[in-house]
Amino acid sequence: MPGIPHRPGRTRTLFVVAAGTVIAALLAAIGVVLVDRVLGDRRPVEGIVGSEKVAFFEDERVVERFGELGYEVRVRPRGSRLLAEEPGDADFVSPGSRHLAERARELNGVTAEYQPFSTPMVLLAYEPMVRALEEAGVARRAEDGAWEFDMAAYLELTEERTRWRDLPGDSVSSSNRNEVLIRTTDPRTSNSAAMYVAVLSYLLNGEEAVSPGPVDREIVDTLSRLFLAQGQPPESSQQPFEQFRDLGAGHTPLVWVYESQYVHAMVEGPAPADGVVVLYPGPTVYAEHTVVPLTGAGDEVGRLLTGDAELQALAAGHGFRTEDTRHFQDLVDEHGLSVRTQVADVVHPPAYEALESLLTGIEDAYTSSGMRPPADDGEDTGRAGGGAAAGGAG
Amino acid sequence: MRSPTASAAGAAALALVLAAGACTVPGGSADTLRVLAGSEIADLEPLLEEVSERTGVTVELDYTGTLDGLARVAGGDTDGYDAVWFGSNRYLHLDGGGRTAVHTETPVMVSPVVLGVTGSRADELGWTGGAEVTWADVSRAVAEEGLTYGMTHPGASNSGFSALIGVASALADTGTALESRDVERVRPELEEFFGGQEVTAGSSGWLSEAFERRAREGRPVDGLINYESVLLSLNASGTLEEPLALVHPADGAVTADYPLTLLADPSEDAVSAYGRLVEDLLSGPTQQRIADDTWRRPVSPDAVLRAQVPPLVELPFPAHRQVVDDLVADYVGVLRRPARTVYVLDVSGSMEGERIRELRSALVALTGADGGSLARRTQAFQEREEITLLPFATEPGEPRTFVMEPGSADAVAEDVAEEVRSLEADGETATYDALREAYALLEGGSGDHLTSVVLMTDGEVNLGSDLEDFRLSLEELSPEVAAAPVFTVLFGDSDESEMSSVAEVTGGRVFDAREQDLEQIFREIRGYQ
Repeated sequence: MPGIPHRPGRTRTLFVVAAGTVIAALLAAIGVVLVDRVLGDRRPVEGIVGSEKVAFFEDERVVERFGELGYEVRVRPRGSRLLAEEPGDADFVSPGSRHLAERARELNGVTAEYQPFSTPMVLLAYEPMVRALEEAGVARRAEDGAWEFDMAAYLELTEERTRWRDLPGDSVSSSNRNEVLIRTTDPRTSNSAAMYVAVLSYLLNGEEAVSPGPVDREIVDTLSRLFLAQGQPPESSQQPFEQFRDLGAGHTPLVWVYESQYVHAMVEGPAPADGVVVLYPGPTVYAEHTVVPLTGAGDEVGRLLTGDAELQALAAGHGFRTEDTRHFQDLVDEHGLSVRTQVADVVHPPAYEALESLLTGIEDAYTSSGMRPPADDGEDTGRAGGGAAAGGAG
Repeated sequence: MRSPTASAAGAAALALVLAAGACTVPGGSADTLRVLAGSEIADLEPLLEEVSERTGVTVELDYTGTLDGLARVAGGDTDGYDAVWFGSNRYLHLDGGGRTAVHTETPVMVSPVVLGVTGSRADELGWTGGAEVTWADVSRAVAEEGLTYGMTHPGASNSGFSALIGVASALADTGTALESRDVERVRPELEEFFGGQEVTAGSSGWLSEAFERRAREGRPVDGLINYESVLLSLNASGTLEEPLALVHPADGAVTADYPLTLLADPSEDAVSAYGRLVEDLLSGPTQQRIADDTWRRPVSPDAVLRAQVPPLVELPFPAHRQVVDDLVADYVGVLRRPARTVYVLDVSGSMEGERIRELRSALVALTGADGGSLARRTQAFQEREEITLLPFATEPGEPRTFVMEPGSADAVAEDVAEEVRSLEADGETATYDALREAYALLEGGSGDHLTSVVLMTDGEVNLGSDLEDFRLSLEELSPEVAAAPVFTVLFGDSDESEMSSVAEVTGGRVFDAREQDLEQIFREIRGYQ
């Protein structure tokens, strides 16, 4: 793997000493962080990561720790499936699951990978929705006080095309005519949605991970509907989380997120409103955040993220679960979070090929349908805004 | 149209930067973010100047229609821009090319597209005091109570586009994202709904002005469909004699979230400038200013909107581009009230040569349904439209009216093109005589059309009636015909103040084709017809 040249840093460092006061004042005055330009002896490393990890890598404590270790890590977010496909000149990619990491390794001819931390998938909902779902037998409060969400019961609910206003009780506004649907990200590009597919396909396949081979049409059709009925999907995991948090229950009543997103928002803010409830899907799945190195520098980053105690502690601070569970437990205790430290009802995602076949089947549903059926009389009304012509313009 | 905001403040900040540490801080254009934006962003300009002062990032905004702009992004035609900023990126994300054209996007504020109705009308309809009103109720009010409203053109402006998607989704009432078969099913209801549309517009801002003006002149429209923020601003401006009651449809709305969007493959400087800009825009104080100054809902929990607005159900946005394209095509071709336009075209001697050639090709461009982006397709002449060409010089020429009958529209469009190609320049410029003739022609039409006049002239009026004669002649017309606006086009040596007066007197708008392509201007005007 080619080494990345160090920046010639010595002369600049001298300048920094001389102009240090001015620079500090300048930084304070205009809030521009230009550390990378003046501390030339750090080795730059570029990573493409799932959007859910951007806040971690940009955390100044993480930046500082990497700096102490001699690296300046820059990341940019990308949906997981996309980042595996087009890594460009990045030093590492970091998707949110072992299985997408497998794809990244395959595409880039890499064997190494690191798994520095993980997080289970959870649901967030507003209290009135949770009460209605409880009455419908989909949500229930467990003995440990945590909320559980019965994914099989949810599938039945969706089978009947149940709308929010149809749920028992009067806790949800009678005017919400939208179907009860979990809001997810885009299954074509995002790992979070792939995790949703992992759980639902397990249930639809008779509580067994889907195996590689020809796809079960019925499973793909059901999954496709559950995505397409939501409408246009957000591309990254941060978007639906923020829409849920910032735009309220009417906008996004029920959303599929990484637990770490919730924990991080509770710890660092902006926190979701008081009436927001975390529900543990039964079953759920763990997103295992993985670093796939593409260069020597990328490999170092993976090694440090996994092995450096301080970086591990910082990861826990971002809501991730690390190998040493005490970090997470401490955080939960300190902030009084209503999350489970032990998540039991967990399934394994299907093998990479099997998951990929399901995702490809769903992708086809996005691209193939939507066409208006041909008009009965076969008349070509090519002029009305050019609707008929639009098919060719895609 | 380029409008550099905060250049003075930006320069001051830059000067400080350069003086303090010349070799560490990039200078010049590095701290400038060039942004292609929807016109609805323009109300942020004063605020952006302050943001610029704090962050050192100068924002240069160029404006264009939302669908037009998003088509440029999807097509990779954004050279010279670092970012785009429209009411919504939804249409962009329906397109594979559009999705990869984006590096990062950050919603900065939100505003749902809802209905505002004059207080008295809302009372009559029983829509005040927290009543639950659905889009279907609005449709019924159109059919049974003669409710009228204004809405922007979905092909030109994001508020009209969002309204169209929202209304169709709500009337289809499937609880899920709209599919094409749903649109087919509810077409009669949609036709009914859009039968109430009395005013169309190419921009949300102009729509408000038109609404205000019609109320002032005693030809009121009952309401308008627009961003909640525009309706609240209109009420707060104090210019309305009767404030609007805001109707937040109980079955939901489509919300604009104004994502500031960094385009793919940005320079390091652009990434840095974008980051600083976003950080400031999302900060509590800036969010509060956005809420206070523009009446949009903030996205930060640290800021609050002063107006009482209810939480709103978000209608799912279609997952397929084809659904959206078909719906917009239906709107212009089938659902909306058709346009009736008189093109008053100066063919006096001064138009000879290049000018008449440009006029011909600009008009011929509107006769072609030649594919291209969705926005461009909506700009072509549509089925059911009536188009009158009225060339004039020393006196009004022979008007030729074309009806785009469904089924034979392509042939009619070809006839229009042929007529346009035969225009020859010769004679004096008797503009007002021609305008009076245009209104006389409108007098005979059916009441179903949305009528307007386009006046294109390249010189001063030098013969016949004057502005006052014209103004007086409007008073003799039926109120419906007199309400038709004149969209004037500055071209060549047009008399700017005269053209402004005509637009002003008729409630139209001036378009400037002196710096811009005449075809582009004619396309833009299509949004107002």
